[in-house]
Amino acid sequence: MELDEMKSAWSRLDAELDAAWTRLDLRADGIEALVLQDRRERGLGLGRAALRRFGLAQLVEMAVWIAMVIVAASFWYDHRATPHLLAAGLVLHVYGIAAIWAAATRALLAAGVYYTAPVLDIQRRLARLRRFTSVTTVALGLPWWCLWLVATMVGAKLWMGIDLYTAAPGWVVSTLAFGVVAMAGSVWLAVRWSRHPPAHPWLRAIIDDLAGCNLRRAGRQLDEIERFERA
Amino acid sequence: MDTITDLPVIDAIDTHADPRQADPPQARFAALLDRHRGIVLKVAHGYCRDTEDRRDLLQDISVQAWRAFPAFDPSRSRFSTWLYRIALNVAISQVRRSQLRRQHHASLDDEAMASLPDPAAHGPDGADAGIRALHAVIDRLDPLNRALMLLYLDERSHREIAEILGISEGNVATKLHRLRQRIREELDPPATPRTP
Repeated sequence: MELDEMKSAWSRLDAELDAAWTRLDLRADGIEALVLQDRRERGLGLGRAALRRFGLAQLVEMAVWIAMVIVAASFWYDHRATPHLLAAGLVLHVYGIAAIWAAATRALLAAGVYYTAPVLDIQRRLARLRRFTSVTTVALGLPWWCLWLVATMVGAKLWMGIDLYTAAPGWVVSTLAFGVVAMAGSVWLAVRWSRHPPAHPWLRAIIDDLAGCNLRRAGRQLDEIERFERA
Repeated sequence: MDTITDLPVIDAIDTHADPRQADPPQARFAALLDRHRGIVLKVAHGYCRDTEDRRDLLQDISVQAWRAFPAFDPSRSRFSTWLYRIALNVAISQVRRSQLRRQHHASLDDEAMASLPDPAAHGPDGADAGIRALHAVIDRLDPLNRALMLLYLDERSHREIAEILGISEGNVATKLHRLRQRIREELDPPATPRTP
C-alpha cells in the first residue's frame, strides 16, 4: 500500500464517517451531549471538569495546611525549651510548608491545562502534573507512618496538656521505629503487588504511586514528548 | 456532504464570520460543529477502535469544545485549528487513560485491540482492505505521531499542523518526511538478501 493509496483510503473513511453521521444524526447526539453535560462531568476522568475539581481540592488542602503551620509554629515557639516538643512542632511545621508548596504547585499546573492550547504544550503540562502528583503523593504520604504520632503528641500537649513522650518514652520510640520499618515495608509490598494489582481503583492507584509505576509512566510520556519535539 | 478538501473553504468563511452575531451561542456552536464534524469523527476514529469508547470520545470532544467555545476568537485562529487542538488533546488524554486501564485489566493487549474488527472498516459492500491497512499503520504509531499522521492525511498545511501541535513549521516538514519514510519501510520492507 502506497502513501497515496492511504490518502485515498482516508478519503473513503471520511465519506463513510460522514454518511454514518448523517444516518445516526450525531449532530443531535452532540447537542444531547451538551444537555447531559453536568451529568457527564461527574464521570469525566481527567477532563477539564476533573482538573478544575482537582485544583479546588488543592486550594482546600493549602488552606488546611496554612492553619496547621500556624498552630505548629506557635506550638514549637511556646515549647522551645523542651527538646522533644520543639522537635515535634518543627517537624509538623516543615511538613506543613512542604504540603502547602506541593498543593500550590499542583494547583498551578492544573490551572494551566486548556485543551484549546497546542497539543504538545498541554500533553507536556499533563505529564508534568502526573509526575509531580506521583512524587508528592509518595513523599508526603509515606511519612504519615510516623507523622500521625508526632501530630498526636502535639495535639495531646496542646489540647489535653499531656506530654506523651514524658509519659511513655519507650512506647513513643518503638512506635516511631515501627513507622520507619512500615514505610520501607509499604514500598516493598507495593513493588510486589504492582505485578498483580488489585481491582479496586483507589488501592491500585496507591500501589502504583508507591511502586513508582505512575512516576515511570509520566517520565516515559515526557520522554516521548521530548523525542517528538526534536527535529 | 463536506469533503476533506472543502474544509479550508469553510474555514475561510468561518474566519470572517463574526461569532457575536444574533444567533444564540448554542446554535452557532452546533452549526460550526456540524460543518467540521469530519475533524471530530476522524480524530475519534484515529484514536479509538472500540465503538463505545469512540462514542464517549465523540461526546467528550463535543463537551470540551462547547465549554471552551465562549473564549473562541476567530481573529486569532481558524475554527478547524481550534477544534483540532481540542479533539487531539482530549483524544490523547483518553488514550493514555485507557492504556493505563488496559495495563491493569487486560487480557487484551495493544495488538489484540488493534486486531479487533472495526465497524467503519466495513462498507456496505463488505470489508475495505485499504481502510483496514490504514488503521493497522495508524495503530502502530504513538499518540503524538498518530496526531501528525491524521493531520497529514487530512491534507492540512505545514503551518496549520505547526499551530495545532505547537512545533515549528520546519520541524513539521522534517517529522513528516521521517514519518513517510518509516511508513514506506513498514509497508514495503527492503528485501533481505537471499542466502544461496
